[in-house]
Amino acid sequence: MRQSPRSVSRFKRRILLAVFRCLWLNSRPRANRRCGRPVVNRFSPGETLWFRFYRDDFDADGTLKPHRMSPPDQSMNRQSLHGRSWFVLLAAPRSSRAKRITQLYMGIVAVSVASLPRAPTHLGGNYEFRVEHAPLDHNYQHCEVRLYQDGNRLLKANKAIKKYYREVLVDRVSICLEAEVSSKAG
Amino acid sequence: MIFHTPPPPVHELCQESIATVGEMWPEDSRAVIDWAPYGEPMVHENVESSTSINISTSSPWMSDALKKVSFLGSLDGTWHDSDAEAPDTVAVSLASQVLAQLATLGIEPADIDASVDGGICISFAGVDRRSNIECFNSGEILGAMVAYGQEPTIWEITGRNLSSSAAQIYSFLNE
Repeated sequence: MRQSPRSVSRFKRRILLAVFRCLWLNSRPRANRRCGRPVVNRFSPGETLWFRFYRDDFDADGTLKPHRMSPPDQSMNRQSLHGRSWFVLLAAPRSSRAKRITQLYMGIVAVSVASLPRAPTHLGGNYEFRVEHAPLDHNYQHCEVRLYQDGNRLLKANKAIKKYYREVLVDRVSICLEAEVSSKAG
Repeated sequence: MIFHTPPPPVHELCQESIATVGEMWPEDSRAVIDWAPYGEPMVHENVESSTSINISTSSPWMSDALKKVSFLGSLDGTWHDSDAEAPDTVAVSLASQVLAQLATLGIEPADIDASVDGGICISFAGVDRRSNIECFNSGEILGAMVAYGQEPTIWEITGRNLSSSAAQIYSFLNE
């Protein structure tokens, strides 16, 4: 669904207010904290995943740059389990003040579970990308897209496989919130 | 892999109309990168350079491109939110060589940028298609060609197929 510029602006204002409130109170919302909740590795295909990005992670034509995408294990936040898109803008505890503020002004990108790259067939080797729930104490909705080969998780992936993942994913994401800040390379 | 003497800053190369990388290194510490089939390149020291690459700044975009590569080489480990590795001297050297090859074929990159996978990415844009060459700190170079809505083609680039890879990208973008 395409949002009008006015509704996008209202959406952005609501997100920024929520994030500023968390920053001001120096706490994360209760829904975002784990509080002893279990790992839930069930994802529906339509579930949305979110991650943050810088302004210069996008080309002038609005395409996400593949070389700026984090390769597996890429961190994302899930929609279910009471997740909100703006949780990805909250910095980890004990982050520096500069990092907390920079992260606040980053943008949010969404991708559905069904759109994630699955298996690079032409590269061989029985590789498979899987999204898995990896909750943190301060971020219960945290997930990671992990790489498996023949059912075994690979902690260090071949660069060609990682590149395949990034090249496929960039065409399947949509922007939720524009970024206001650039990386140091921007 | 250790460089006893790093390659000269790329902006120095811009001063010359045609500069040979090997010649600009101190005589006693000249190193030549031998392109391994996959993985880390082997570096031979004090080898008389037979594979040194001419950096030509005759293309109008080349000077700016080399300055950008030099700038990317000066980034530190905090350049991106994802704690990505900053491009190092290996990536800078490889990117300069790729740019030299592109200049000889008259292929102008659309963008030169740091990669979160540790390296420098040289991107090209066409109509409904894009391509890029990523030079990694590990010494690997990977090329990618993507037509929108189709599976990407990814291949390894070595010193031997650099020229043909650049030509392949040129014909892909102009199909």
